[in-house]
Amino acid sequence: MANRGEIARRVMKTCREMGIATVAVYSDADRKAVHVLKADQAVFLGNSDPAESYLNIDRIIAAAKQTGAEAIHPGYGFLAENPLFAERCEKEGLVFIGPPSRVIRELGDKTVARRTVAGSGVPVIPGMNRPESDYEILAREAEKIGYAVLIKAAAGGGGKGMRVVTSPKDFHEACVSASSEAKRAFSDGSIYLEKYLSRPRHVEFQIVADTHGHVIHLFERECSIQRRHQKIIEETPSPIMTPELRERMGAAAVAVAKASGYVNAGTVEFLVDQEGKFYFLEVNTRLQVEHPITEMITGLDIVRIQLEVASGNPLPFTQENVKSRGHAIECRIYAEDAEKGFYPSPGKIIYVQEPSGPGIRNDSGIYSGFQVPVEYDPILSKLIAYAEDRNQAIMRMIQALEDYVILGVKTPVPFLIDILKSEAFARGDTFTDFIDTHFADWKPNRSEADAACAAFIIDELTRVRTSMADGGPERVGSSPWQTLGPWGR
Amino acid sequence: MSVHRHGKRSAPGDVKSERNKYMEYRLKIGENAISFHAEKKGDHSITLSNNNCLLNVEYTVISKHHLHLLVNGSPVNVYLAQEGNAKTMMIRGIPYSISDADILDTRARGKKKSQAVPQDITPPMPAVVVRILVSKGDSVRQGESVIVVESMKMETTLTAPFGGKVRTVNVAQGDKVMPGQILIDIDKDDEASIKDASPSG
Repeated sequence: MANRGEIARRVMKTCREMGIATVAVYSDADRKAVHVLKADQAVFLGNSDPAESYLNIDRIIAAAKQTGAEAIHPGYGFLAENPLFAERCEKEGLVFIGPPSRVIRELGDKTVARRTVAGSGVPVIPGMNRPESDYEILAREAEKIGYAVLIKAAAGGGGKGMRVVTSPKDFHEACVSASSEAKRAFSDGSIYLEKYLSRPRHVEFQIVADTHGHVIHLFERECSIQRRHQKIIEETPSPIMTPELRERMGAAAVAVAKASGYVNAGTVEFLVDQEGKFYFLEVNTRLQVEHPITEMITGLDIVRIQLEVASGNPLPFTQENVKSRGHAIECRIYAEDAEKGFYPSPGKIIYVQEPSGPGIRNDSGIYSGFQVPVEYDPILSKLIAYAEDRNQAIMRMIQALEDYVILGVKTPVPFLIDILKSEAFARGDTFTDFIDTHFADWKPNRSEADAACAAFIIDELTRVRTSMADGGPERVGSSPWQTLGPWGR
Repeated sequence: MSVHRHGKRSAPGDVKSERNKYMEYRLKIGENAISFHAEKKGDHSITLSNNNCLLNVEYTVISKHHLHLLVNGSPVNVYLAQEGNAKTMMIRGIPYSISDADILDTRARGKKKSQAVPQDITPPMPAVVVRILVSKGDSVRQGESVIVVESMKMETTLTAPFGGKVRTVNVAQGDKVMPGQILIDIDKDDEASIKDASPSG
């Protein structure tokens, strides 16, 4: 399992169900990470710098060889969409659980993908079809496309190396910064430009393809609620979807997969404009962060499908007999401060209490006492709510978020609650500018300050007794009990 | 980085030192200070009051991170943790960061001066230095980008808080840095140079 955190844990769960033994890999920062604790074996890669650990192909291949692993699941991020890694696995006789390296290379270069897809008749967003490193040429292209433009990493994904530029004066620094971020995230700093579409929706289709030529889609996911071009809430079905549009977009997604010779699970992303026209955005050649919502509405285990396809088995179903039922929503729980521009908030998890109950799934990579590393993506967990319809799913998610206690780092839980309670979300007015439009200067409504103050005072008054009860010297320092003795009687 | 309470606080109004049933609290919650008069009613019951409200609170200590309260009869679960000077109280998914204003005041007095406006080039969170944009001796304008740090894959550009000359660059690319650590020292342009820059007469 060439990954870490919640996704490594999630993949290993299915492996365990299928009787497949698992090998985790880890860096210095992750000695106590949850994926290490849950694996059958764990191999140390190196220091915490991703280049020395989760991005280090030689060390990951060596770990596989050393433990006798037969297949490698790359998760998402890190090496998941690195064609050199897939190719190396192929050469070393290891099964790479994902598409062939050729497909990853072609679709992974977003500009090549744009050329391939345009050839299959699916509409693409206006922009460049080749990456460019000369900032002067890029600036001329930007003028040609017309501001606002979107700088994108050719090797991109997950919003890394992406910048919206509205004016020529910011263009140069944005290019430098985007390229540098892309270089570190993907070991490839190439960038290109696309026209920036205002107020689109981000709608993607899950596809699965086997080695026998079958390609089907598992419906759509609406992922328009984003901050910094990263999704934070996803749902399926999309509030705008009609059977006709689903039919057309699903067919386009399957056409893209077929045009590229796709095998295994993948995601075809589209932008849908306000007139309901859709444009190809990119293909993510990996298991998607938000795959659980598709699993909830279809009852399928996408990781199991990935493993079956990687073993050469045909898909056990056809397009006609895949059915969706109900509505699923996912909230991504990051270590970040939603009140301060979503700044990362690394630190030690002091206490966690996870929500549970009917229709609730929590894919988590943390536990009480876990130190959230500064070196990696700030995702802590993904909370998924499933119910019979959208309104019920929203209510269920709100309850689950209110029950989700994570102390020690900041999380966007209060922000997510307010989004889910908003009328705009209830109406399904979910565009990619949703947060800027409705929640630009958001602060939580702290309506229970009295109870919070009461709790503070009660904690002060009872802290010594509590620490004795817990048997630990947790509370240090003076307190009324130590300095003043007991209450007067 | 745990911060321990040290030294004895001077009890406000000395009511605490009388070992009676009353205590006065002045709490800081966000930017607001709220005072409460706390009075013990029973083993698991207190009354809190100030000019605006009267709270009868029954409580059960579930664990050191969990209190169950009945506030004027309404049940509420509060999850809490000590974080530095403050406690975070989590109620229905919303965090409230609360500290003891008297203790904060005592500490503030110990410091040389408060910093209302950030005057230092320091990262807002634990981070890694990715690019240093200036060198020793460079002149910088107020607001000019001087260093880029990254935390959890997000880049943040720090800017010069005032115009001046770079005295020292205290870090190197790849260094891990913490909030409060001064990454770059800048000698502020003195009054003379500001006067020079302004039109005479």
